[in-house]
Amino acid sequence: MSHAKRAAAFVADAERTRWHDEALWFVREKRDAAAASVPDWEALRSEAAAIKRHALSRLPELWERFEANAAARGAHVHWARDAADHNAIVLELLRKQGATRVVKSKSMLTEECGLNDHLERHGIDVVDTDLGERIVQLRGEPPSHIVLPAIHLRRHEIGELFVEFMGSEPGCDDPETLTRVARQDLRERFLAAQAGITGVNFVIAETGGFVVCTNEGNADLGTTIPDLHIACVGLEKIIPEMKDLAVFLRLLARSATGQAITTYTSHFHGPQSPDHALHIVVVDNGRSRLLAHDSFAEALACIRCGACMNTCPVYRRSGGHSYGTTVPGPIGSVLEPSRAPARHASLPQACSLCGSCADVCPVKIPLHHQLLAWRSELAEMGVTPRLRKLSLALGGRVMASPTLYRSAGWLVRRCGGRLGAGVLRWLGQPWTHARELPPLPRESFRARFAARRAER
Amino acid sequence: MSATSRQAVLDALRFASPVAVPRPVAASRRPETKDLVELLRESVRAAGGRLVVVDVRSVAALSVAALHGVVPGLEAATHVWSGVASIAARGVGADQSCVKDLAALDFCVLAGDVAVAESGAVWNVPEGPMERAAALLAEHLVLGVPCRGIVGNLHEAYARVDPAASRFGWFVSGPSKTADIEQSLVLGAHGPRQLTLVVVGR
Repeated sequence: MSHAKRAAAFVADAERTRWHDEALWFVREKRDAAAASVPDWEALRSEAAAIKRHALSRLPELWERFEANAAARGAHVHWARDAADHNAIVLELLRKQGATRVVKSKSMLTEECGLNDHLERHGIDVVDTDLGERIVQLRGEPPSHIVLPAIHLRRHEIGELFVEFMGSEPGCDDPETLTRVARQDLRERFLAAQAGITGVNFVIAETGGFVVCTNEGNADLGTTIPDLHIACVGLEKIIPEMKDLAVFLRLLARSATGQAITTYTSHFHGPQSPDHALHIVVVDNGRSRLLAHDSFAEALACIRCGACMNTCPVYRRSGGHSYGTTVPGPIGSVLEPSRAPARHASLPQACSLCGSCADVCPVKIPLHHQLLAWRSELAEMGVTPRLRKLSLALGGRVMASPTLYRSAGWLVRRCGGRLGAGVLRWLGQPWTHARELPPLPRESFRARFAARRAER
Repeated sequence: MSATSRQAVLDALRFASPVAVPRPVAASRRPETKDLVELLRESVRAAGGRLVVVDVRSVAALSVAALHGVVPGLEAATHVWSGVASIAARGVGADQSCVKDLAALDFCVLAGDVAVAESGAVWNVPEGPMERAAALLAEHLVLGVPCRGIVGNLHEAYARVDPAASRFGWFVSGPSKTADIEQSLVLGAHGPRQLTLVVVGR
């Protein structure tokens, strides 16, 4: 299904669309204020982009260094080629521990790998502990935003959900009360957990450590109480040195939510005590393939702040689920077609090429250039939507021949406004769904030009 | 399987790696020109916490008496975890028998080394997993930091602390929070609902 078709379902609820649009734009404004408060913000972005580019050019060396340092600190490093490898490794670790109750903090990587489903199929109870992620988990949906997983939902829907799953007061839709109910429910699960799974924000090659950022404290509770911690990380998350953290951490939360820094910025160097075990699962799952691609490799610099989503006029008005991907929005539209070109072919086409995403990206990924590059790439692969292919081929043919161009213009004008406009509207789909064509002129530009010249 | 996966992943990376790009030279950083205590106060407030200044010699000398009036409820609290020598632990904070009991904590008082004025983040290294759990499960987290430990930005902070020197360390800014329900900010998501940063000395 195309982005436009899925978006149609979202925009059918006009009030929700308006709210979604405004809520995300408000986050974008907070980001702007936070960026303006930092002297040298632009220099910081350039530095972050350069460090990432440097790191992406030396991944094998950095990972080997990390592995040796992490092992020296008593952590175990596992390697996964793809999602299946990753899921098998995590399941095996949990089985060895005899863990059946697992708490998980936010990790887009485990979403990408479908870890929850895999573990549940094997009798393991996985609880997402980030409030937004818990909400979408209970609804049986994927997150619609990488930082604000439940931004597509209104408070009364969450209230109804909590009545069903957490026994909250019917009719209650107060965010504070609902958060307290979830806190109580999840705290019991934290206390009963036998293992904690987390994502990772930054891996430090120099020290063998890694950093996890949260506001809620869920990654911390989930790795303090149980004595097994499994951290799942994509190959792109590595940075060379500890001091690089300062550059990225100054950018991350400001770009994401407009906060100066997340509440908790936790640094793990080995298991937190001799009684604890720490396993780090390093996942490729298509990242090395993307790295080999000149036009798209830079997308691996992404630090998952979500700023490109908050600013994107298409994302704000169509909702994260309309992308049908783990990571939605501009960055998702660059990353996901590399996995399944045919399935995600409509995503680069959904972009208006306004370039706002690249303007706010803290690591300066040229997102709109990449989206444009994807259009040609997908066309060459032959997975452009059929109607678009037809209209572009037709347009190309007509434009290339003056005779054809003149007769086509004549035909459209002669066939009267209605039929001509109808054909153009059909060819211009879905762009023309909610847009009126300007009225067709009676005569062509050439005719008018000739007439004016004759007058003089 | 894992040995072959490791080789396969590293080989794939080697095959795909672009031409080496040199490390950039660190940009020059403009030092913070504002008054650091005032900037820190503003940042802590923005993060949902509160900053107080107490005039004692050091963080280690912070006592319940010194915090009288600035941290309401501490004197009367039943369950207190303390990472500061001159403040006595009480209730479950003194027993320390089981992590799960710590959920009853009213207060957790810990020492921080460095506070970052531009963000309100305080660097703390918990004594161990129990202390870390206490900092998360207590209703109210109190962090003491010496005035001379205040720095302008994170670059200066990383120059002062060495996170790799301990198994676990964190920057903490404000109480735990969430805005996952309609972007309404709620303090006290899973961790403390209140945070007081006590700046010690002048």
